Amino acid sequence: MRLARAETFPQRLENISLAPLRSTSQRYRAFVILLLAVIAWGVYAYITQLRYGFMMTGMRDYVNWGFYIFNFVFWIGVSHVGALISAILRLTNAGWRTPLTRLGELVTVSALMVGATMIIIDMGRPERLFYLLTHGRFQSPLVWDVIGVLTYLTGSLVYLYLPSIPDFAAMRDRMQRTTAGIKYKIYSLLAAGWRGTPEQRQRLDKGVRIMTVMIIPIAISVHTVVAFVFAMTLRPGWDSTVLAPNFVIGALFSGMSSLLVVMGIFRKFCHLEQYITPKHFRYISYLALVLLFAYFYFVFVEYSTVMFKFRVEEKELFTLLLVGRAAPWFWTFFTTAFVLPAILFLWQREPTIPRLVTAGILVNIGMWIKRFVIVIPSLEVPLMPTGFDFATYMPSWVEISIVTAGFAGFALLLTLAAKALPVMPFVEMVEEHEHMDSNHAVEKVSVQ
Amino acid sequence: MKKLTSWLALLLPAILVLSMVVPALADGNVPSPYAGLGNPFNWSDTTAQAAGKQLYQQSCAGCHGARGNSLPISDFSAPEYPTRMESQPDFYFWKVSEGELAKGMPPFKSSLTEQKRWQVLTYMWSLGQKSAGAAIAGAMQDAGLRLDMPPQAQTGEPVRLSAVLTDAAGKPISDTPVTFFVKVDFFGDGLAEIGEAITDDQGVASLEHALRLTGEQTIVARYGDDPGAQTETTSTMTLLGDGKSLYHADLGLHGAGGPPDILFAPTGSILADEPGFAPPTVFRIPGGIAFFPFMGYVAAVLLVWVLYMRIMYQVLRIPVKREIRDLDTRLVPAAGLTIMAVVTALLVFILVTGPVSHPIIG
Repeated sequence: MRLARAETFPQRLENISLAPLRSTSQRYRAFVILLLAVIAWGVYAYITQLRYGFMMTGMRDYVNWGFYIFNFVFWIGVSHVGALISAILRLTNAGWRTPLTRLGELVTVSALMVGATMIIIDMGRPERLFYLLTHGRFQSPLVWDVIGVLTYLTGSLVYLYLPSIPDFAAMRDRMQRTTAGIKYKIYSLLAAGWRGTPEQRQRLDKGVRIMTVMIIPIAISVHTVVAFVFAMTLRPGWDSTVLAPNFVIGALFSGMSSLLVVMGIFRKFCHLEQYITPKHFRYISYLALVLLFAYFYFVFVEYSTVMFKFRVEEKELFTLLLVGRAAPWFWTFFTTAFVLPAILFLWQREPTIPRLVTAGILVNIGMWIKRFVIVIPSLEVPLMPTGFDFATYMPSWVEISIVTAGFAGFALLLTLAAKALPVMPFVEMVEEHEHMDSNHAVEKVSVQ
Repeated sequence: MKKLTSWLALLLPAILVLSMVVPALADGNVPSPYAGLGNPFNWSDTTAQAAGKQLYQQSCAGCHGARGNSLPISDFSAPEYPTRMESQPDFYFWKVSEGELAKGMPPFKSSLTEQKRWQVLTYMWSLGQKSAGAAIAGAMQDAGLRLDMPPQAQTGEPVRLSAVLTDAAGKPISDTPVTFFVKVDFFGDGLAEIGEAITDDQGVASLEHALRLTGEQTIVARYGDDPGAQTETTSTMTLLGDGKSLYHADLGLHGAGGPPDILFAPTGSILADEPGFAPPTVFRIPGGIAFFPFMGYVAAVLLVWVLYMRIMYQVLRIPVKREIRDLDTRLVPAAGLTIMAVVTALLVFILVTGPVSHPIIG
């Protein structure tokens, strides 16, 4: 991009933020087509599953929760990034987080949508979702789960929409000159008549502040009820009082790491180098490091309290998990979620960004494996004493295709979102910049 | 960065390989301290066998059967079994002591002393010897079987069932298993096995069992393996009880105080137990102590959604009315508000309606 004249900070910021919405490259189109192809194959796999039943998956009578469920837990975990970045950091007035809030919320909304889809795919008769309304028992953790995820999804959509209103208004104003027809109409509707008047600002701020405070307990309660689906059973490995905080901290951990990856990707492809700096990556990595130690603490507490006294079934499970057939999975999780990322986070070596993005990828792989380790080995342990063997689980092509399509769907949602709304809240960033500038000016004046 | 990636490329596979090697510490032959042990008793020592028989019937017959042939994976009554036991007694002693939980065999090293375990094994050796003879032992034909049991009993209380087995000459047949059944009606008529007992020297096989049924029940005692040559006898017993299932699913906390149960349901639907039909949906707010956590939960969900609607209302007030010309910019917030109101109503609906899956208590 060659500029004939020097741009001011606001102009430059706006140009870069809106550049993806102005034009679409061949590379983008090709990527979207690739993602759609993967999703189409996943849809075919789902149709096969609907047609021939769950015999097409690897799930049987013992291991009746497989790939879909643990991917659901994984995606709900990833979705906690929004609560942390947008909410907690906004509450603590961490000004550096502003460029990242839009990305964080987009990751949250996309992850929640993919997670909810995973659950519906796990239902053999999805039309029976209707019975949830008519026959849902309030005693059931699954009902709480549905209510929680629905509440969090709505909250995240609201929280994505509200701070975007000034950005939509700016886009509407730019578009007036070119009168792009339907696009202009859509953005005008989305902008909800925003003019930037003090009264409007007050209303919006009030809404955002309520959401900020509310979304934190909602996010915590969502992953708590997801954990309750396991912790309220009597199974070894699941029947653990510490499972709910374990899940919440693990979710924040994998959310932070997903943000690192998404930041790296968007920074490169949307040319946000000036705004998402190595400093941002470092700060996020500090948060991720704290969460790494916190999650390690919870895993250590959970495992050591069980291993100290070893009930029979729990001994079988932990033998399977730590030295048995599932051991490669457990130790790979341990390495890729704890050991390697800790080294990469602590080893302050340049260049920062590739090192931290690699750590983010490793954490996500490790946490994905951990969700597998939570769900499936526990189901493989036989609970009947006489002559029952350990069950085995092997995902079929249907499950692998659908789960891969889930990842592709997540990527597609983010990719399409980059074309629908600016990936940085540039209006807010401009205001902050001006606020900082005026502060500096005041300082200069007062020093003199 | 390249150096780091190459380190990782070496490290990750190394760790993966290591973690796969660890579980390869698999099971081999008989481990110490069991390797090389031998039976301190003589295999045909009848005293040891008698002691072992007691222990066997107490601890082993439940799964392995009265004659050791209930589990096909370990058929002690097979003729080759005694030879196998004689050739590797340490293996069998190891199995009894350490068990094999993966296959469902519990360990007995904590509950039986070494001497007792060897006695059990000695008795098991004799099972293989016996089967060669016992199967042919005459008295198969025209054996007499009599069932003794009280005519009445309380549901859920243990009842002693006795079967007396005599041969055609009236002599008691000992050391023979008799199986007891009760006639049940569960998706069809049939006999449900309730236990097996071995006749003693007087030919009496005794079983203590608690029947969880009410009314007149038919008990059947049967002798003989071969379906073509079986002897059966039937008797009836009246079981007294109150017609309700013996297991109550105790729902909720029972404490004093709290509002009463609020229930709107079609009459007669509460304990409807028709197979093939889902319990009907009713409107229900639980009473007693359960009222408070339930209403707390409903209140929390309502609070969140009311706040959502409040926020949307704030957004609805953003567009200035007089500036609206061709496009109604209140459309998006209004639509959002409507959707939220509908979803809130749905969620509260889910919470307060639901099937009555447990009987109402209190």
